[in-house]
Amino acid sequence: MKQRRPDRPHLSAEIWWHQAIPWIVAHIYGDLINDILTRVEREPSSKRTTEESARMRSKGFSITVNGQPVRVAEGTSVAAAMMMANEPCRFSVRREARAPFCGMGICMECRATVNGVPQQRTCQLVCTPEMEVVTG
Amino acid sequence: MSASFDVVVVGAGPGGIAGATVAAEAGLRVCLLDDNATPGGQIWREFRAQTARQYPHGSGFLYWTARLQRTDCDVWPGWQAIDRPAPGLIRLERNGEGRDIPYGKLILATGARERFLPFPGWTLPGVMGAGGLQALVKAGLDAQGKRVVVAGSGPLLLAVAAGLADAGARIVGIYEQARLTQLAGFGMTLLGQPSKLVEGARYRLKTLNAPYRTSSWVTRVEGQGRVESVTVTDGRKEWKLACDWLASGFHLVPNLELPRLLGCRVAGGYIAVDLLQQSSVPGVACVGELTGIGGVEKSLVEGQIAGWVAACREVEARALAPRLQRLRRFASQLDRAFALRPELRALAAAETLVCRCEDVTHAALEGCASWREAKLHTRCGMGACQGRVCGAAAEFLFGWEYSGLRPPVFPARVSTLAPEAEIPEPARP
Repeated sequence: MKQRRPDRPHLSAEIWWHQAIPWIVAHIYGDLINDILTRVEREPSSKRTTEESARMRSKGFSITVNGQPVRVAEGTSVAAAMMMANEPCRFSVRREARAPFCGMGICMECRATVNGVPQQRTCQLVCTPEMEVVTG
Repeated sequence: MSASFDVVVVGAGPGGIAGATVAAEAGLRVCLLDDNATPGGQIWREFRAQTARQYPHGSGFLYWTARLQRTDCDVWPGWQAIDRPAPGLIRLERNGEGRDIPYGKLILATGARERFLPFPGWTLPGVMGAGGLQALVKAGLDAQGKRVVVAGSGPLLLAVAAGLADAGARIVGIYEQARLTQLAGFGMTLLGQPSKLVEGARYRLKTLNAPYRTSSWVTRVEGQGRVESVTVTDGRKEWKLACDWLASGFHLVPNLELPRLLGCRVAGGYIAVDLLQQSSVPGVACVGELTGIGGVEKSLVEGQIAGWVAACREVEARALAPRLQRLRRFASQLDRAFALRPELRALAAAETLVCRCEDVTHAALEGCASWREAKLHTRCGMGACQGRVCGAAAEFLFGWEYSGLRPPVFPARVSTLAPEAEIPEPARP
């Protein structure tokens, strides 16, 4: 009679993997695997996109934030324009200056007066030429 | 009055787009609405047809938007769903204009927002959400040369840091509160999904100049009128980093307001749905992050299922079930891997604001026993954001369960809320 092997080979392989995986993955979040990947590929996209955005702005238009002109590219949100003008969007109950926070329309910190309409969520609003934005 | 629709889809992110597309392809009259100026949701925010290829997830965006455009689906950008005044009727608002739309079925794909936790200095200009700063940069904010600390929790941090580096920012460091052991366990599950590993590695590649540290978190932010420095700790020692911006988000929480208003049952922080995406309310399907934070792939599958079900094509919907179960497992693994450490509860000092809308301090909330009591006594969560920021924070800090939701779920004009109401002339003697 053939004797049953005490240890099935595929099972031990499985155990080996479970011990090795955390170690491997630790390095994914560390730098090791990335170091290897650095040699494999490098994406030169960063320079391109910043140059692109500078060019976009230069052919954009101006709006005013608290009376000060700000040059923006087409498609820029009013919240982004206010940040670039270094102006707060609103003052809180305790008169603290507040600026855009959530960036996606839920926190209401970026409310400002746009073309005379108060309480506009500026992060959800796209700049249009000659727009007038005022804090608060 | 405008037309009625067989299906109204709220939220034009991946889940909403997939659901609307499938339902429209099946011949239904579908309306897809979103409060943003362009469809795409957060993950596909500001993607353009010409440049989408260079972004991760760009090909999915191109595929689905092209497929959506071939249908007769009505796409309504800029519209906010605020209420359901009667069964089968949804109330919308855009730029102060209100509209009530009759519908047969609803697909809710309202997505998620970041979880924000209060710490000293978090209200200073220059402190933003991680995804928040990414969204602002995508919306034209110039990040060139800015020194940015990225901190908090979640897989989003790496993606945000990579996006900011691409936009010319200098990443000072990336600080993840989760333990390396937790992440390693999560990474283990990722081995079955090499595409996600490659994505993570690509993000890290772009931020190699900055340290990525686990078990580390921001304890306070200092500056005169704006962020000047950020203090980071690993639980043993603290160090100070000079920077211009802090991008800080603690993973994601679903936008439950609208489904909650409709009466959908919530279980474990998410909308409870069956394998056909149906919530506890008949005719209301919930898809994407609403049913578990699982990312774009899960949203697309769930959206398609909801679309097929809306068109009464259950066979096609059920065919996607095996993929769905795998993706839902992934979502719960994400939640476990990026679970918040208890030390974060101690970050807020007595005078730190918890509610940014009404300026309510941590000290004022300490004496309250529930979310309701906090609202009544301190006005916490009663401001313009309606508890969207402080609600999730209070849940983590004090263990309070969210309650007391009332329409409208977003600030709206009186004329939108009561379109027929006539304001009586004041009586003259």
